[in-house]
Amino acid sequence: MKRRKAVEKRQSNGEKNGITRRTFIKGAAAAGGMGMILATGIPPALGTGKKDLVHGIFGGDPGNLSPVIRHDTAAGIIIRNITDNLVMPNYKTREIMPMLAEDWKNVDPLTWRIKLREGVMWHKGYGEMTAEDLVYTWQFHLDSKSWQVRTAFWPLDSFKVVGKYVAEVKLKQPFGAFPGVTMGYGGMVVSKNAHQEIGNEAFKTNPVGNGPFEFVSLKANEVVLKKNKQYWQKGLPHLEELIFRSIPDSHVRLQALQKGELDFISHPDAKDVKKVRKDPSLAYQSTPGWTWDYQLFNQLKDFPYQNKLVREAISYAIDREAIRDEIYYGEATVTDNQIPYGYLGHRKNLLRYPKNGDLEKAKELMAKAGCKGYEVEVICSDKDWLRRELELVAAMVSQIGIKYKIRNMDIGSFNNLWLNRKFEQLLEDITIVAPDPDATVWWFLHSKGSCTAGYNDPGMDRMLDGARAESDPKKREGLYHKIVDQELVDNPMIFHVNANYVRLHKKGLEGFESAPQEYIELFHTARWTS
Amino acid sequence: MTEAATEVSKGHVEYKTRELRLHHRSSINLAARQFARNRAALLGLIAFTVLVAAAILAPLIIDYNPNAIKLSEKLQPPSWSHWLGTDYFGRDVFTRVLYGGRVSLSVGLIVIGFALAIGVPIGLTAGFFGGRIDNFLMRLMDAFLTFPPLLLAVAIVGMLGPDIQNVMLALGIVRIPVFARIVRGSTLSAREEVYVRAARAIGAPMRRIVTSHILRNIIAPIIVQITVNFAGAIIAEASLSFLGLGAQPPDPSWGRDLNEARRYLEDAPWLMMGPTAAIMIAVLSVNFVGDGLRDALDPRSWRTWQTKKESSGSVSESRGGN
Amino acid sequence: MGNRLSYLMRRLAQIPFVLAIVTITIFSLIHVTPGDPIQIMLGMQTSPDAVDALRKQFYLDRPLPIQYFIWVKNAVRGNLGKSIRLNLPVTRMIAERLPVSLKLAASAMLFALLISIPAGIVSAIRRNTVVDYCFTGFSIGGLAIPNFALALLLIFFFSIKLDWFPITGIGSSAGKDVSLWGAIAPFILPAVALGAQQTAILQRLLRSSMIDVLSQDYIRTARAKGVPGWIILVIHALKNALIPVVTMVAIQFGYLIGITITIEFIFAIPGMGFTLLTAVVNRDFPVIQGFTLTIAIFFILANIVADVLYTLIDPRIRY
Repeated sequence: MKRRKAVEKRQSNGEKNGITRRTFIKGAAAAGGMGMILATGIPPALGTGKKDLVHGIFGGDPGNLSPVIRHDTAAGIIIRNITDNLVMPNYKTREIMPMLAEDWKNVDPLTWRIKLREGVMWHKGYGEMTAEDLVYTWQFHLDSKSWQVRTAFWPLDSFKVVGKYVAEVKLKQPFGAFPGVTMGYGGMVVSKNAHQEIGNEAFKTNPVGNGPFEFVSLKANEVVLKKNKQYWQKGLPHLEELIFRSIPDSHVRLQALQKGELDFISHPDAKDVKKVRKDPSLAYQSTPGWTWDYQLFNQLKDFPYQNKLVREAISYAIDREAIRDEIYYGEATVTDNQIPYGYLGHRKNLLRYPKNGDLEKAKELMAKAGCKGYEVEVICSDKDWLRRELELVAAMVSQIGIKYKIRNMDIGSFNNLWLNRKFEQLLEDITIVAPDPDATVWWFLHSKGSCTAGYNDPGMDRMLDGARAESDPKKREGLYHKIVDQELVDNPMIFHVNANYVRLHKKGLEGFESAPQEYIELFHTARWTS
Repeated sequence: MTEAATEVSKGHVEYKTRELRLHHRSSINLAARQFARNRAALLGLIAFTVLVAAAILAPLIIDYNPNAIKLSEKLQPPSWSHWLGTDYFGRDVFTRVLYGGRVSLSVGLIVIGFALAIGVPIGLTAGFFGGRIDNFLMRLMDAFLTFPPLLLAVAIVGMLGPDIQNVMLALGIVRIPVFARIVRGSTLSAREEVYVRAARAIGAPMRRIVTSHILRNIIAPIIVQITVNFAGAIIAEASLSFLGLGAQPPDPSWGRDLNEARRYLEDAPWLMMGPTAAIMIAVLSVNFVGDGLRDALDPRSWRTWQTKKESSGSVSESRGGN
Repeated sequence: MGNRLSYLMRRLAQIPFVLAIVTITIFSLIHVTPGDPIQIMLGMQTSPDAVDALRKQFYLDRPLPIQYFIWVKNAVRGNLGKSIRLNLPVTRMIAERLPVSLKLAASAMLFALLISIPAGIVSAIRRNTVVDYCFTGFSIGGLAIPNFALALLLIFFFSIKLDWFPITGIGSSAGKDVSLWGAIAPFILPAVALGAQQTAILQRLLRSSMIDVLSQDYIRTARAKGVPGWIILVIHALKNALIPVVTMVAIQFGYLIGITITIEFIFAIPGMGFTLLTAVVNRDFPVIQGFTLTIAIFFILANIVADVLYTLIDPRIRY
């Protein structure tokens, strides 16, 4: 009950979208939400519980904390508590909810008009957020050719400040997913004044945002944030201090939580989760996530897997359920396609390949392809669960005569081989950042995609570009179905599972909602009741 | 001969006579018998030989496949069919320990061999000639010593690929200075010994001085270093498994299996026991053998300074004599 | 005395030479290793233009010798550049982490010496007795277990089961225990885990060294002169037996900083090791250069100290 209220607080109250092609009546839902809040009132007086929260974060030393420079997932969690986004997805209904952007209209196919919320103050006295900040931020992305240029900002052409809080964005071509992808993934705005004064590089370790928490310090492996007293959502946040400590070993992270040295952790070792759920002093939240494990074939190299029948055989040889159980201990969903639950275009988790694989079919396909088996080097990075998964997959695949020679390397060497397409096959996981199917398929299936390795199909390209530009959701959905259907036969990549995101914390923490995005862990409504 | 050796334990024999006797062939026999009297050293030698034999003859000893995954049998505690239990993929732990020995023991041997082959000559040269040569070589060794081993390992692996031999190369290079430095220190000391200065004074050829006098004095520290570094090399391989460098999955090595087992410390402790026991036996046995060798080869250690009061109870049969 | 002083001066004067070798070697090594830090940092989705622009900013487009020269020019003025990944000045990163690493290494060494010196002496006197085997066996046990395995066992028994010590907490501002115990407690388990290996090495070395020394001529002479056994042991034997041990302590201190990586990883300690590892993996050149330079300086100084101590302990040694 309390959780739903927290979600609704994040939505704007009673604002109506002028977008005619939206299919659901957001206004009704919002009105209902507002009614509920007004009827039951703000939750009773803030608990007299503790006022700080120590978050044990995974990964190594926190990287850069600037929203306009590429950062890793762990840094993303911290950044999102410092800076709010233009919009937020409602994970249940898949709809885009206003946050710092109150309103957005597609005035003509190539133009979007965005109205920003008024009265949002930047930290440390940098004034109020205006449309100038939005235009500055997005222009900065384009000028610096940031990593988001190809994901969220690829269609952007030019900007215009139309009013103090209104900006107009001109596109190069129509983009149906503009609210979800561009405003969603690319929606963290920085203050023009702050960014120019502090400098882009210095911003990495001295960020200024407008979110619920202000940056205080970054020392070695610890980031300290404190409450933003001028936060635009009145009454929030409840916590006074939010501390992120980097604890690289997942086992130790859990042990430290159990001992009370930490209050909150994410990414525990999946093996321990079942045991921990019996611990009465801890609370557990697990959300199906938007992270896949997949195998990628470098088709630029001359190997038997260039034949798509061989790739199909491999997909049939994989016992996905075993991977889910042995590597993730149940904290995952088997999948063979890349449009997960919650996305437009999702149908089922397993569309074509049986959950335990089909060895007979696999052998049949190998025979049909005329392939008796081959040896190949498969690389993976140093994530230990992926290493184990690759061992398991290698054993499965050896049953159809293929020998995987596993090459486990540090992330630097791995990235180097991947970026330069010097690998043969690889196993890796990837997190999708925006709640739109375009973000899940274009980069991997388009011949110009940055994650594609030699897969080149003009028909597929046409479908992908068409679906991007299409604005009618029904038509888009149809296109994405076709895309996935072809992908399941061509198999440029093979998907195994969607991992869950598991978050554990001490009992007594209310108001935290676990999101199906790895880097979304927002604490603005969190508080201790004891 | 042996009667004289008996006298040694009571500290009565002239040192000079002792020294001359060492040039006899039968001094090797003496050393061997000395060694054999040291129970711990013998035990160590046997244990180490067993380990090496087990690693080499593994397929003859046990017929499980160390890499065959059988999920239905995973995480079973030790039993008659699986002496050390099974791991998280249903593989027999005992088999993996045996096969793992192949990788881990060869890592130790090759790393030490490489470091010895290069480090000892450097140390000897530096210690014997002294002066500028000593300076230059030792400063070079200083530079080597400051390389963080992990950095070197990642760089070499990054360049040449994550194979175990590249890891061995990296570990070997970092250990050269350790041997060089110890050898140089002992050589410096030995150079000042009375008999060495005497030999030089009478114009004995350098080669003779080195092999006859100095080597005998530095063997003891070298042997200690070998044993210490052997352990270090095996353990370094385990630490590099942290990063995925070293033995590649699914091949077993003690270090890699130990690293994978640490998640299971509370649930399935037998996973850690196998590789840990293997590493400990290897390290302990090499150390005891090293002790025994040192005692056996170093004539000066054949005498003990203990007073009569202590010699009655504590001096064991390993000290000279019958 | 004058001889010793001039030797010290000579060694100090050679420091730049050694540092040059170290830094040039590391520099060459990391630039030859495949992997571009900018590409890694900007990720899969980036464009070649963005990569090139940043490369220029970090001088990575210049020839290697020029890059090295630029680095040296700045380094002698105290500017070690900025991390490519974090944009933090390398000196600041060192200032945050070096004290922690030193404290950790020192506590490990302290633990090791406290145990190994008495154990080594006793083992040498009572060699090949039960006591000797016990001590030696015990300390070899410390050598035979990889330090991360030992760390996990220590955590399991002393932190989880017995709750005597905390697991994490070094370098953290959270947790308001500002007492002395609060400052020391998080160091204890890591120090034991790290120090166990040193204990073994030092005990063995001291033992064998003592045995060697105790059988020397001049010991026998002293005994023959009628000095009581005790004093012989302490004054003559120990002094000489300590030579290899002193060397080893110096060598091990530097080595310690290299192998703290696994311990830093497990206990979440913000030391030099783990950050250096992250830098190596991300090919963060300025951090790698700066950190290895710092470690090298410490190590070289420690070795000089060891060599000078050599001469104090064994007056016969001449360089």
